[in-house]
Amino acid sequence: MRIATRLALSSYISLGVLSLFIPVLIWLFTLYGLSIRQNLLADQIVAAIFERTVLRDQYLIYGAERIKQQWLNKTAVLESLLDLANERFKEKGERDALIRIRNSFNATRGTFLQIVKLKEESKSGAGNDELEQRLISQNILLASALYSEAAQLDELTGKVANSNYNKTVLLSSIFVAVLVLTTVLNSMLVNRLLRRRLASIQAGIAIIAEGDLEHRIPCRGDDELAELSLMLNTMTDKVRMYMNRLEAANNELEAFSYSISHDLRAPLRHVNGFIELLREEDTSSLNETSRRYLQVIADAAKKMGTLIDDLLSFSRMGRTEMMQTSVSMWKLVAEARNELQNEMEGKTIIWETDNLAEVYGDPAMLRQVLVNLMGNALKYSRDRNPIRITISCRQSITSDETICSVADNGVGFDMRYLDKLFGLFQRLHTVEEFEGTGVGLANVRRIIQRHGGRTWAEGAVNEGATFYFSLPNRGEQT
Amino acid sequence: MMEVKLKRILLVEDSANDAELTLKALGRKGLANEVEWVKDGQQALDFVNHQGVYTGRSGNNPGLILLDLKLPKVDGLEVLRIIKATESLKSIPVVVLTSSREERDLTESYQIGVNAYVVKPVDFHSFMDAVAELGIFWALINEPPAACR
Repeated sequence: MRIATRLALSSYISLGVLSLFIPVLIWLFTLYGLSIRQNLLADQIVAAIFERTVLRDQYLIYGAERIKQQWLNKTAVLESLLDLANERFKEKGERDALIRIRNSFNATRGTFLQIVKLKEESKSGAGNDELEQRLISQNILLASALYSEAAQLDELTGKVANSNYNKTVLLSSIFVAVLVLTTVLNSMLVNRLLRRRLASIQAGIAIIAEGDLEHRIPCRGDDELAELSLMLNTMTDKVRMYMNRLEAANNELEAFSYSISHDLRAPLRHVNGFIELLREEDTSSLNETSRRYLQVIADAAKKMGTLIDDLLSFSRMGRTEMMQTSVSMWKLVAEARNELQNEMEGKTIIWETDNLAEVYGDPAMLRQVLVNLMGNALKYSRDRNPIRITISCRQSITSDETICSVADNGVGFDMRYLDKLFGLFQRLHTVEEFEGTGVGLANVRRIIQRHGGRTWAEGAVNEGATFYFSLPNRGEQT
Repeated sequence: MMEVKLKRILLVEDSANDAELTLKALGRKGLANEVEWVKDGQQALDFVNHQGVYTGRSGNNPGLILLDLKLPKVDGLEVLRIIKATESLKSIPVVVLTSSREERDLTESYQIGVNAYVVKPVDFHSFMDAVAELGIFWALINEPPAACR
């Protein structure tokens, strides 16, 4: 099942539970409201009966016309309440209670009105005290019966209201519980599924990232994660295809450089050898021009030899296995200076170093970088007196890498040609100005790139040049 | 010159120019007459095995084989492999003399059991010195086991 479907299903289940429970809840609340209203009505009836009894007692004591009137009003109110109750109460128990109340009500009204009549007759002397007393005690009995019957009705409606209240609360609780339970259950299921699947995809990606391009992530099911796995696998296929092509191209290049190494050297050696043999012969028969030609041929052959050697060293630099370790820049600079003794002879050089840190990389290759950069610095400032060369390192602020630089006060370069600077066989000067084949900086760039770093430069004509390279602190293999 | 016992040198080299230069270099040390020059790997094997055109040749194993790697017919590494795998030949000192600086050639040669691996210097004087020293060391100074004499 798709994850989107799963999540949608979770919402649908919640909605289903809601639509099932809400009408029930509404019905229960209505029922509860109704029973509360019934109970209120019963309360009112009880209250009216009580007040009516009090008025009766007052009348019996004082016999005032006003109180009688009040009693009659209250009786009318009670009757209308009973009529209302008659309309409203439908339950059998309630209706039975109501009939009894109505009977007692009618009886109390009857006896009271008789009492009133006798009282008014006794004022004119025609009273019957004995009958009056009997009626009064009858009325008191009937009234207390009425009161207790009304109280019973009140209790009954109270019970109904209470039970409706309990039912509502119970059902609401069940409803909330069911809703929470289904939601939590579903999210737990989806969560478990996602975690398991994601873990397997992560493990697969980790294996591929380690370099095993044959590995494939298992594609189970038909959900988005299966699609993702499939896409990742397709991507890995592509990467592997490009890797194979790259490997093939690299092998071809290797064969090419091998053939250069072997086949180009031989004729060159022969040219060199036979020129020397010729020179060892008697050259007196040759004129000055011919001897100069011989020299030109010898020089050109030597130049070609250097070019081939540099080209080979460049190609080898790209293929040699790197042995990365923590290495002191200070030590590398010292070693590079040792290697450059010849170039330093007879010159006044001010060496300045700043913060030469520990870096991570292949010591032999990094030494080559420094030899090339420091050699360049010496070469291109050889007319300066003194020559000033500054080598420094600092931590990059923006990323986890060390940036080192070699600065000189030499002839510098035009920033317009910056992008040519690190190219293979690219030179900004003629051989007559400064000797070289244009491989040094290309080698620097290649070595630094293999370490996962960058190379760049700043300079101005006749104002010196600064060459920078960066090295990742943790060491990145490429 | 000092009292020495001369041993023949087998030069396996397809390039006439290189062969001439090598002979020149050995000649300067008085070793030129001791050199037998063959132009491919098959001839080299024929020579050491007394077969083919060398059937019934006089003399024992050469005191030194100077072997190029890139050779017609049977290449240098194959020649080296056969020599070092043959009981009667494996004590002959073999020096690879080649233009190849390739790591894999070097590694493989030493794995098979080459006695020395020399990259032919492009510079004439270095070349002359290197070849001459090789000839003197292996053909004159080095003492092979009794079976080779």
